[in-house]
Amino acid sequence: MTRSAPLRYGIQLDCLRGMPRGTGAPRVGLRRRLGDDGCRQLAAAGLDVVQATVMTGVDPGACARAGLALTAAGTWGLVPGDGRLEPRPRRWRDAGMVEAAMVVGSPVSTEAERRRRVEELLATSDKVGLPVHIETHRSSITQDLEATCALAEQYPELTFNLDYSHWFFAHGLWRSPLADVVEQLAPVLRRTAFVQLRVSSPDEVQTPTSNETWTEHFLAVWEATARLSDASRITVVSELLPSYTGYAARRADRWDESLRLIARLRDRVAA
Amino acid sequence: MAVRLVEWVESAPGTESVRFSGKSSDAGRGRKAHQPSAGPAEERLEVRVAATVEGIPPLFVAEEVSGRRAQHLWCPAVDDLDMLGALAGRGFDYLAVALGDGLDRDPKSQELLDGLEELAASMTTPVFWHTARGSVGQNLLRVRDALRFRPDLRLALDFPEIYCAHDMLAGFGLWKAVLAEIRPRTAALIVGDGDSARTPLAPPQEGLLALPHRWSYARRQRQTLAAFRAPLVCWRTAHPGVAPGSHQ
Repeated sequence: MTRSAPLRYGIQLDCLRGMPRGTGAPRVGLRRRLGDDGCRQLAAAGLDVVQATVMTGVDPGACARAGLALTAAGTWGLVPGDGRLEPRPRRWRDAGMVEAAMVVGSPVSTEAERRRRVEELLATSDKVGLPVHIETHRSSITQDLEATCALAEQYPELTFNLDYSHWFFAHGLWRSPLADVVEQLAPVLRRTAFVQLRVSSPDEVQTPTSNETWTEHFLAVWEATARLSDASRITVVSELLPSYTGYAARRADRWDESLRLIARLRDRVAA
Repeated sequence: MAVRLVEWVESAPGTESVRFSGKSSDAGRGRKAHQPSAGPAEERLEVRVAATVEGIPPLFVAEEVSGRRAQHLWCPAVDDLDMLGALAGRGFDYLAVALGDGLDRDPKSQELLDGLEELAASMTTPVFWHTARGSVGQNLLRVRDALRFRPDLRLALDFPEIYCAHDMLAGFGLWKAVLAEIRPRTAALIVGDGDSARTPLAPPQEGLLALPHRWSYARRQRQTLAAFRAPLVCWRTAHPGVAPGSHQ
């Protein structure tokens, strides 16, 4: 079996919000950044990476002291008049972040508009010196599978944050044999340097990871990605969002789910 | 897939109601009666069903009145379309046909659409293209483009499916121009409540934080319905079970 690129694992901090009582997760919130205790807890759980979001922050110094790499999540151009891109990666770089994943542009973009977004993102990433990956996400320029694969082929330097849950859910990929899915998505999978873990079902964009049928499908796609990717290293973060975001249909201990999911993927890729 | 045909009753909080009874009125002109413009076959499809909006949740209350039947079908390949002719004369009011799968591209997707048009031209039962996820009708932009070159094609627009597929919770406004363009070509509009929409709406026991999402979906569905004035509105009540790699 093809050897995988090295993977490093972590968690997106929005995972840790809206948790049920009794969870063992580090506590974060709108006004409560993740500090030293929380970062040490993540490291003790075997994680290497934290992904901060607009909603949930972290003390960069605490991250560094715990040996965690700090990454960013953001958006650009989802609605008209969203402003300039450059200040965002620049701010992240200055905060000590080492890479970023962004949801970019409008799903109703023309091909020329998609290309313009990609070109500006690549130029900015190069200028600022921060790797920025485009996220595969509904309601963005990566809404369409075929168009996204075309971008991957047109821009050899373009890298992706694979959030497969959006494509699975939007494009009914449960109807297609797994091998066909991997083959069709290969242009993007080969260029994937960042992966967000979330499991969908036909009914929910985020279904509990105890749903073994779909969890197994997702693990297989992530494993295939790890083996196909040309990236020198792949960052993998769990992004199991709380119910108030409209993603999860029920409250669950997403900290526990995240650690289990990461452990399963780690075992598969190492095998 | 089981469906019930309903008449949409648009309702503000309280008792306001406007019934689209399938009788007269042009789309979007604000008249209460409706004259289907899609052709003689559709003109037969008068639907008289009552529905009531009583806030959230449940969003819609449907009553089964008409006794009319619709058949939703999935045709993974062109050859499968040939078999649909056997459904003629079986008492269906229309056929809603989803084509191929979510990975299909040209030329296969165009061949499927050619086959669907040929089928529609050969049958007295109206045949509509179903915009379902996991089919070549899942992408609204590609649907719009196909309609531009296929003037006789009519849609069974599945609102819950396109809402989920395009994450309209995040950007409904972006799609208004596309929806406006395909509106005249929509012969059937499929709606559902929050639970059957397959959109990640939290159930009511999740508390107040879930309500904005449910309400957002409800409001957009109402906006869409009000804009479309489709001659048929289908109330979907059941989902088929699915398994990986299955065409069902």
